[in-house]
Amino acid sequence: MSNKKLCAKRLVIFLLLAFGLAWIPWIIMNKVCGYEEWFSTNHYALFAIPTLYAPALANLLTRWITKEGFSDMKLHLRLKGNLKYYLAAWLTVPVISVLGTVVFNCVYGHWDLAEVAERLTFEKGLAAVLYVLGIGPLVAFNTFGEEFGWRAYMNQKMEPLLGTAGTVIVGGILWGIWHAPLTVEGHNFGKDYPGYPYVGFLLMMLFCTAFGAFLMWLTRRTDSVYPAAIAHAVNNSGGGMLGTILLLNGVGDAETFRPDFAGSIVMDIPLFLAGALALFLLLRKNNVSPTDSE
Amino acid sequence: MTGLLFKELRQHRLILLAAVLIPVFVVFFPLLSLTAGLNTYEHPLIEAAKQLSETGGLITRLFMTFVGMILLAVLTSTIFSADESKKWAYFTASHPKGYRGQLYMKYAVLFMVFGLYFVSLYYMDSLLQMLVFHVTGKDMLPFSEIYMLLFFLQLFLNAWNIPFMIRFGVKNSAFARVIAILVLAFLVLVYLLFGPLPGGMNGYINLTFGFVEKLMKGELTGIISVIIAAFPLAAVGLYLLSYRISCKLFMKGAADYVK
Repeated sequence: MSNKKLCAKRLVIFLLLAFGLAWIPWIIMNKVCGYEEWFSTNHYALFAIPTLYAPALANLLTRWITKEGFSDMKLHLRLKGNLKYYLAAWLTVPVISVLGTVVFNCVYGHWDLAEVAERLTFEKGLAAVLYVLGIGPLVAFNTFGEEFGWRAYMNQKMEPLLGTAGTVIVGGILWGIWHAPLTVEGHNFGKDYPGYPYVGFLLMMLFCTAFGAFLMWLTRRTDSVYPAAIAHAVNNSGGGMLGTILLLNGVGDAETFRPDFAGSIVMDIPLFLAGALALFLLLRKNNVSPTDSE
Repeated sequence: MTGLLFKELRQHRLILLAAVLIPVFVVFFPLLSLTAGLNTYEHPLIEAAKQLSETGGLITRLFMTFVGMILLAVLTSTIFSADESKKWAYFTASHPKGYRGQLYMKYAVLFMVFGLYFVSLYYMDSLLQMLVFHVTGKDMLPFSEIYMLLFFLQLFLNAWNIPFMIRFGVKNSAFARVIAILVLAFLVLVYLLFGPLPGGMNGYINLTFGFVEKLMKGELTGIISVIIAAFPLAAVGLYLLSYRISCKLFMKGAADYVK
């Protein structure tokens, strides 16, 4: 079997497993227990926790089923010479989030900045920033499950078939679709928006493509899955909403604030730019990871 | 470096296993302990699960968290004591990566142990919450915030402790640590006996539990919230600094090791 055919076979098996192992329990739990009950509480932790690791499990199972072996798993830290990428993983998402909020406010003027300045005490602002930066990387054990599947396996198999740009786009779309059972229950954007849930799917695919490009760039440069897991964890543990939290002092409509479709696009402009920059860097001819060049 | 990592992992595989298993004991023991002496119409485990979501259960869980922390501290001290011999120290110094490589891996494995312990605690607590909810229909206060702080507290304490272990040996540093804890305990005792307490002992206990409850719900405000939020970064920073200091002290300490 040619190398491309083998890659395609492994990719298909991986995707079937990654989607099946997550979607089947999610759909059953959405129907039987209700999304809020199983996802937002620990009432069904035994069933909910393993689904976070579905892509990681799919990676291991695919390697086992196709007798690929367990080399090039991207599990080495590779800290030496790569600290700047770890720093980028840690700090980029909060910075993008703050920029996104600034862009949104410039376009829509949603928040009265004078009122915000009055409410935002230095202590609360500092506590929010320090909390996100301190706790974010620690919860990388939760996002490792996804990154070990998408970035450490799917991208490797997809790139020989679709090229780098194709991997960023198709990989991002697939990653976005993977979230569909959660998006349809309002996990990402709520339910109260025009075009629900299809617009939500579309937005999630856009977000995942841009964010995925950044995560792929981190993984490629370091040849390690951990920077991507850290960036993903910082995003999930408040870093992705830091701008909104800061602007609203952690109270007010920060938790319920949901921009409409156009607003979400505007808010994600810095993320799209970062994704485009990551894609540009990935496509540069001299883009060889430190370990490839050895 | 991979060889050094493999050596550390092989040498301390039981500690790594214990870091995963101790949380099972720490999290589920309160449930079993609360069944002791219960004489009810319901099954003792059901009654104990009910108590877990009340103040008594909270105290037991906090106590067991503390016990787990002590157990882990005792176990992890062997990561450094295992190679405490003059011959080995001089051999390490002649290794291409030198004693810096060995210390780096010891710090990394210790970090790994604390990480595994935290992740295991986090998931065991989630399972206990699920169990208690399905038995009693009540929600138990999640301890995830406390476990996160505990992870960083362990890093913070070890950041201070390891350079002493490297310079003066594990035994001497343990002796110094016991003295420090005794002095601290004495000061706390003096304060509790003679110091001003907010509304007597009950008020003090209420204040403490009020603080713990706010911490777990993420409701702390003011300068306390800044200190709590800054603590993780400070602990990690100190841990890295501690490695640098240990590297400087290693050969001086090795000269005092027994053969």
